Amino acid sequence: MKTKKGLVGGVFILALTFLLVFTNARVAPAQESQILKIGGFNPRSGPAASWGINTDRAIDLAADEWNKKGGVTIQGKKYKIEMIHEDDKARAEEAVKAVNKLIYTDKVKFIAGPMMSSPFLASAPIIETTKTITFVGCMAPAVLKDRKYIFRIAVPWNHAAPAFFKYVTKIRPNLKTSVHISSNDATGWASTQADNDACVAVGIKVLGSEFYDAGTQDFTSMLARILPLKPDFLSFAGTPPNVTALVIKQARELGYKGEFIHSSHCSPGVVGPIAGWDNIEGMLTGNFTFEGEKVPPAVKKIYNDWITKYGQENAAGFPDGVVQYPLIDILCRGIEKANTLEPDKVVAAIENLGQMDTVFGKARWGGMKTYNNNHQLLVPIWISQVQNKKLILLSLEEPWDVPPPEQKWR
Amino acid sequence: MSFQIFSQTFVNSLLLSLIYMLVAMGLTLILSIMSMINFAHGELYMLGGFAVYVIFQRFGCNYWLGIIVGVAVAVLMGVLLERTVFRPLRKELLPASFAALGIGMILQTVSLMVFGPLDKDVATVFPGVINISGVFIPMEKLVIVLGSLAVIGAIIVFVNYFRAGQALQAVAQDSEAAALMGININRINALGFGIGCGLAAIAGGLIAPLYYVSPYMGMAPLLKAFNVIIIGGLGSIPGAVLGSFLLGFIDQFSLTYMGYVGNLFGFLLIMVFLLFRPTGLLGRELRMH
Repeated sequence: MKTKKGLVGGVFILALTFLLVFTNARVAPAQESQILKIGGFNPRSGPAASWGINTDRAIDLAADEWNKKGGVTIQGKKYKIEMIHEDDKARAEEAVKAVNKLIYTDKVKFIAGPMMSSPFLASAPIIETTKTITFVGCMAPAVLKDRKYIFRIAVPWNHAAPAFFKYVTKIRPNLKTSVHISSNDATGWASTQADNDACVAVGIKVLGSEFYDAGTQDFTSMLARILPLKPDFLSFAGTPPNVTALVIKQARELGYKGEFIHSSHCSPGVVGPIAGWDNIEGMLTGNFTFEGEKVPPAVKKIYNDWITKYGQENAAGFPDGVVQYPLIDILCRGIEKANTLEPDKVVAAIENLGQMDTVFGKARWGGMKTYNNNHQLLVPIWISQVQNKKLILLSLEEPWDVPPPEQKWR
Repeated sequence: MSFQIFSQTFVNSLLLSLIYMLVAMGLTLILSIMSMINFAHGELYMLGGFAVYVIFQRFGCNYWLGIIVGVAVAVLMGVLLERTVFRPLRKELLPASFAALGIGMILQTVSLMVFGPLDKDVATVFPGVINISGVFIPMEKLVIVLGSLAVIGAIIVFVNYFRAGQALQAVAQDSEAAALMGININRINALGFGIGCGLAAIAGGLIAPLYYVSPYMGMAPLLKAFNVIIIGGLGSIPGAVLGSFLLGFIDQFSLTYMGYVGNLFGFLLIMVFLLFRPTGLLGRELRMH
């Protein structure tokens, strides 16, 4: 009797939980005619949420721009863009669930913005089989290899890192040795490979590579291994900003005097308050920013729109996800050029867009030698520096179409 | 590896062990008294973190006030939950534990709705590092160590030298016999549950400036706390202390000397205990109804 009563109590609590979860869930907008649905899945909760949410925000902002202009024109009809974002919690099984929902329930033909390699790779076979044209930001090489319907908008480490570190050797010739820190997963291993290959290619000696498991908050054991090697800089690439911040904070506490470099996107607005702004002064990152003489006016406009729509949160330098802002523009131009939603024709039209003017500079498709397709956007990479709690653009550098050969760095 | 690395790893292990102990203490206390696994422990830890974030970081008030508010809210919530949810489920391990799981999910969802999913930073309260012959001890961690030692000391004194504490022990050992001796079981259970929740909030509040605060911050410490009480023994406070040190040292030394592969050793230890000594070092067998 007591057990029965207890079970009823337990079920009641769980029911209350689900009620709360569902009242928090987004209600799907009503179906309308002449709507172009674009799906998206990214971590919107959990440790990688800051990346996912900001990516989705950037894509929404770009979609707003097209909608303000009336939408996408297909055979004389205007289609307004409707974004449907799902939360994959940076987990493979959640990503597969999200993709199935988007394709089979929401009937989307396009997906925009997945930025975590491991979850995306789990869902890629469904995307390719259903001919769902997808623009991604995730960086692992396998994401693009031999794909027909997947395009990559962010410049991955293997193309960006050589240009990044070449520039580093130019402005900081004193930086001669590095240790790379990344997560113990597909994203982390790919970024480590790329960063270390790039360092070796430009003459920086790689002293070691360290991997941490997801959820780690105490890095003192890892740092106790690294710091006696006395690297000139610690390098991060696929490391989320909150984790980067903790490593930096703990490294300084353990007496590390060297520099920190994050060769991909890592918002100092997240890193600074946790790591301490003094600890990241002078840090070089591949993040986009709105400050510095070299920043194009179009980017400053995006920043103003961002602030208007989302407020000031995390706004020292652009939040990390803004890298995917140009994808909506490229996708919509491709659809308009194809003048149809038929996937193969849209793919062909996108591939033939030629040289494109994007907000981040002139871009073109590349990657044939590496991925057996020309689905990698080659857009200038931004190299910025933290200066007095601001992120200042130092240079725009051309990414390498053909990455350096794999080195024996381990 | 040099003596300096060994010394630094030893100090890191001590610091980590005390952090583990702080988190595991409340969990094991509730387990010993209520015979239930408080799956909401991680969320109560989160509550302590958010209290510090709101009071200290957002409102600019005193850091310790943030901890006191967090503890007060957690204790109050604990007493209330014990009265409304867990008292009817007393000694019902599975239903009570599932109810705790649901409460944890509610707390996490509410914090997600209120604070959003992005991590919140809490400024360093105790800046600076002590350097002893090349071995570095951050002040923040030193404060946590002192806080942990104060908490464990207070708990030991309370349990052994105060009537209410002795009653807690009596209820943990045999609640029926304790009731026959005139101990008010309901009151003692509410007290124990409240203290357990308060301990989680103290841990969250102390550790918040060390890392960052988020609705998911309780997950990893909860798992470590489970590992600690499996090793130390279910429901044993001295066991939790021993378990914390064992796990803290194994985690730090294996990770330092072997890299990420060292993560396996903590889990191997748990498996060995579950197979060969399921009651842990100093634990007792839980009776399931």
